[in-house]
Amino acid sequence: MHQGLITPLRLATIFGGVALAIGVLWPLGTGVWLLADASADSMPQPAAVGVVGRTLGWSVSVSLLALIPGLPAGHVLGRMLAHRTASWWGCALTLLPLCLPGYAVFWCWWQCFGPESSLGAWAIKAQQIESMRQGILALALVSWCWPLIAWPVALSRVWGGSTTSTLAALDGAPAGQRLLLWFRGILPAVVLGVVLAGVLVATATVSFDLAQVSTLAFELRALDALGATPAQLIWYSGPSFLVAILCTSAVLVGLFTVHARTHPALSRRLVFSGSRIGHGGVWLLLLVCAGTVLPVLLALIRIGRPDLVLFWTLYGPAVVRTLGGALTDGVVCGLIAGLLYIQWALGGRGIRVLAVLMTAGWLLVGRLPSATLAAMVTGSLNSSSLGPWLYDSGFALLLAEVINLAGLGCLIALIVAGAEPATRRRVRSLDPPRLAAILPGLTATVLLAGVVTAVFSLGELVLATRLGVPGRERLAMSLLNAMHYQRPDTVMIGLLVLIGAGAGVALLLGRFLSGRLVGVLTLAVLCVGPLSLVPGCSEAPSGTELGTSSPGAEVPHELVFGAPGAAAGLFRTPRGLAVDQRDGSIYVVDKTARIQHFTSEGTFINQWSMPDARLGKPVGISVAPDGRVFVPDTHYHRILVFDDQGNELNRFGHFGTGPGEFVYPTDVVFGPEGEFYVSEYGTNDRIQVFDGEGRFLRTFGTSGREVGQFTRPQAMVFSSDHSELFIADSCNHRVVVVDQFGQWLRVLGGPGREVGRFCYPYGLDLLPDGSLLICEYGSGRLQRMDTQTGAVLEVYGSPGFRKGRLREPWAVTAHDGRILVLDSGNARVQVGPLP
Amino acid sequence: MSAPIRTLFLSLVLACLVCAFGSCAPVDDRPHVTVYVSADEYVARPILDLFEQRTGIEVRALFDTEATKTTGLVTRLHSEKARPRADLFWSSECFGMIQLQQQGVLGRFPSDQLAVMNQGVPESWQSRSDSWVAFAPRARVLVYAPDRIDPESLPRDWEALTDPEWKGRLAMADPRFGTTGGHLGAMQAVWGGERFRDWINGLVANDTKVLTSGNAGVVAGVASGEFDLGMTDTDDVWAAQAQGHTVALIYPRHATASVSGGGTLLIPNTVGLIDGGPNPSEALELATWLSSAEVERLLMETPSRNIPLRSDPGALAVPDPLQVRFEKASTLRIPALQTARDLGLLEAR
Repeated sequence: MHQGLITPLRLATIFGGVALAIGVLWPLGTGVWLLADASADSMPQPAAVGVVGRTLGWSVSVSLLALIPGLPAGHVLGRMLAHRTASWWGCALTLLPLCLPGYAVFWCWWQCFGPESSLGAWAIKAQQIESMRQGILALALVSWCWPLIAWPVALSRVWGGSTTSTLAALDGAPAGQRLLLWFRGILPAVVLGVVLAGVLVATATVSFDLAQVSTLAFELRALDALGATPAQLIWYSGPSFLVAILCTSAVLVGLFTVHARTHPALSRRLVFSGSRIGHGGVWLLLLVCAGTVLPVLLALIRIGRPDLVLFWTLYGPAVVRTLGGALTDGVVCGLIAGLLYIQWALGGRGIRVLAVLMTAGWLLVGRLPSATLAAMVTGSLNSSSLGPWLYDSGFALLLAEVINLAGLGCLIALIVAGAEPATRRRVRSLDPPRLAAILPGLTATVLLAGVVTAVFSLGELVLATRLGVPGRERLAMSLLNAMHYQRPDTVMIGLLVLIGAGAGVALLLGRFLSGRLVGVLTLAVLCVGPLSLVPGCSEAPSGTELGTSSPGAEVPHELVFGAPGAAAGLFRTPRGLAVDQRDGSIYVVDKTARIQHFTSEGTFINQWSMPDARLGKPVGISVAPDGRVFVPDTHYHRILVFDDQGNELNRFGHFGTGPGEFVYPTDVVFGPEGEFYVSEYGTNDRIQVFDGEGRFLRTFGTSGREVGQFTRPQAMVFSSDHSELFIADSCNHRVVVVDQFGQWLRVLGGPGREVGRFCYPYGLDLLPDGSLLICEYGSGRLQRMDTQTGAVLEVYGSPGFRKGRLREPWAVTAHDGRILVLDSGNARVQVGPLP
Repeated sequence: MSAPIRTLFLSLVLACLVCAFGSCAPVDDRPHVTVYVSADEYVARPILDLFEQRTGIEVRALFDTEATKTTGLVTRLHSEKARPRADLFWSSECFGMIQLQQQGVLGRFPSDQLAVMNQGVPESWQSRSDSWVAFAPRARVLVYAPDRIDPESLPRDWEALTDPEWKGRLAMADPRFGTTGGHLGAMQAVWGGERFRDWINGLVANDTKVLTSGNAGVVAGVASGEFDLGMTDTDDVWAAQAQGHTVALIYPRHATASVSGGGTLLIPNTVGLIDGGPNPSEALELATWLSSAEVERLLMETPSRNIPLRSDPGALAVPDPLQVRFEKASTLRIPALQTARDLGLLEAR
């Protein structure tokens, strides 16, 4: 009878059973076997009470604190779900905080309010830094895990948990009494949520590591590091198993108490639809912004300019693999949850009991220590027959991650199944069971379980380290290493990628569940919006109006020195380069306001700092024929003169527009009779001429785009006979040629990225053959040009970070048969033979 | 679900399956070598890339996380002993390598190859084992903030850290991970059990903070002003300096200045051959490259600034490095950790 109708249920039960055997019975059985086989003498002492207590204390405290945002958020989400007002919006928003790993949220808050902030400095002074760190950890964990409380509370409301309080409201009961009744209605859901959040917090090892708090998970890892066997790990983590059993029981009891309280007449179907966002949606948005988006944005502002190009080149494949792995985990867990849903929705009492037991099994085995799980998977799959297919292919990692996460998917299946109105279920039971009748719930289960498990999989670390395929690392490992290596710019982009990925899955969910594209796009802007704030994407001069560029040959780079950093020999956005013509030694000034002196072979000699740097750092440097070092102290509107040991010899000029006064001086060049020329930008945009003693002689040029005018003259060079002065009129994208009195002679180039045009020419020098070499900040290339006709003789380089490529070069100079390019964006100097 | 949505969904499922598995399937037609690396990824990757470019041999590297430095990979290599996945292990220290050797995970380099790899390396630094080779060490140091502490007041030897002057001012990484444990083992080897116990007792009495976040966390703590002194490795200090933090280091001694070979501990990088690895010839080629003078020079030029063994270590301001048998230090690591635990050092968080 009804053969075709029963088949899906049978199939679901069979496949569910197979999955259970692989994912639950096998690990548990192996664990029991390992324990039975191990010698009792070799077992370590179980975890100390202090460690277990500390772990439990944190779990309970954080999960209780998470009630503060979780309860109202759940109330709002429940109302949205029940009243079908923009429920997709609420769902997506309440999933977003879980997209970032907990440790990433802590790291962001710590960047903002850690020791380098004024608050942190105060905490250190007051010897409160430890309390502050733990406070920030609690804040981060709460802002990460509150959705796990919000969801059960929301579903409880959908299932009728607020019915009593609604009736009380109709009876005109006082607000306090209504609140009490409401709370009683949702109490099981609250317990469920607190347990879920507590379990999540207890297993968040890395967050605690970063905050210097030793928990049970850390002690387990230490034991593993010292060579403990899987059996020893299981024995040691015995207390956590007890907690896992208690938690599993509490979750299931909570779940079924919620179900039992469902009022058949008033319970509502779980519907993801609606477009009116309303006050509740705005409130949720604010909560997510405050807890998740705000710390990321603050950290981004504090850290400054992450390098997207470099990040993508280094970690692009890892990002793709991470997303692929997370989605695969999500698909498999979603399918397991779907099988369970079918069993629950179509099966009789016996099948339902089986489904509950399956869920309990998955939840329990998911709490196995990751190191133990990894050792078990390795021991089973890395055999000579199975290994090449299962262990080497990445299946081992997939299996372990599914074992770790499927319990969550199964729980979601039970929650969604329980959301079906009892009346509807009864009506359906009168008809022969059909898969089509449960398709909406089944789809919702697979999607929700898939999305949630995929999100959790994104930040998984221990299993990836122990079972990952060599050469195919995950992003989370790189992210954690970057945190340890103090590379905040890399971390920031990694976080943005994770947020983007999380937003992506949330959008997918929203699209499937509601089909409302406008709302989805709104959410996309919210989630991916921070990317547009990355200065690295927007700070570079736009060249879209300037036409197209064509890449040239590589920049000569026989010698390359410098790298990002603030130590000797390293640079932070170097912006001035000069060569001492007497011995070929090289001076570089960077955004740490240091002048570093190198030999002609790039060996560090000495360094000194500018006396003042708070307002800004110099953008140029020049060496006089007698070896004195002239530094236009741009943001202090003056010129400082040093000897090669950094002793200040002279300073002149101050802010102003009059003769001898400066506004943002950029470069100094030396005339034939000891006089020197100073370029300025900002207000004056002119060239002033001084005698050798620093006395004002004359000035030429005004601000503008016409003949006789400049817009940011950034660099200058005299022809060998000093008859012509070449000026990089950078924001007019041209090179202006004048005589030594400022008489306008001609213009080379013009705006554009084509060969022969310029995009922010920032540096220039004349070569021995009389041709002019220009480096373009905007196009990342060098052009060698005929000084009379402007004909391009050669083009070198294109934007990039490999040697031979340039990123935002600020200066170029030639000396002794070599050209030296200040590759500012790559924090280095590239040196090679003249063409 | 509408048809386009269903198509999209199925495409997505297919795509992620391809992402996860397609590129992971073993492709053995191209010469390759699998190396597990506990050296910092940003230091090691360019060197491995260079090898790949020069030889055409694909390098499949698996890196560790900083928090579980070396120990995670050592555990993994041991768990894979029955059917090794890796061909080579590049460790940023030597203690994990010795542990693997004692567990029978490592194979042996051919003697002629070993001679090539050790060419130019001072004899005292040549491994007594033919399973691994040392190169490019770094030093154990004390990191401090020069803007807060007068360098003249700093302790000149490790034992001086127990002076009451440093009470509540010192931090160290959890010795169960990374080089700190090996350092404790070396101390016990050099000082003997009683003196080592006294030193641990002194650290506990001085409220030494043991951090869960590794040596880099120690430097970060000193840079931020949480601590005045920290036990760490040179590369972590250089990295912090490169990031603009105001920190400096000193090389405390293990013995008085009159005792030769009593300076600070140098911990070498090591490369070991995995017994039964699937690509032994490629592994030998990579091992030879890693232990070459060129790689030592490259490592010296990285932000990690490792010390080339083929030059005089003293020339790089590491005076009179500690003379200690690494095998002995490795063996004593676990007893030293046990002592640290028993005396309550690991509770100091």
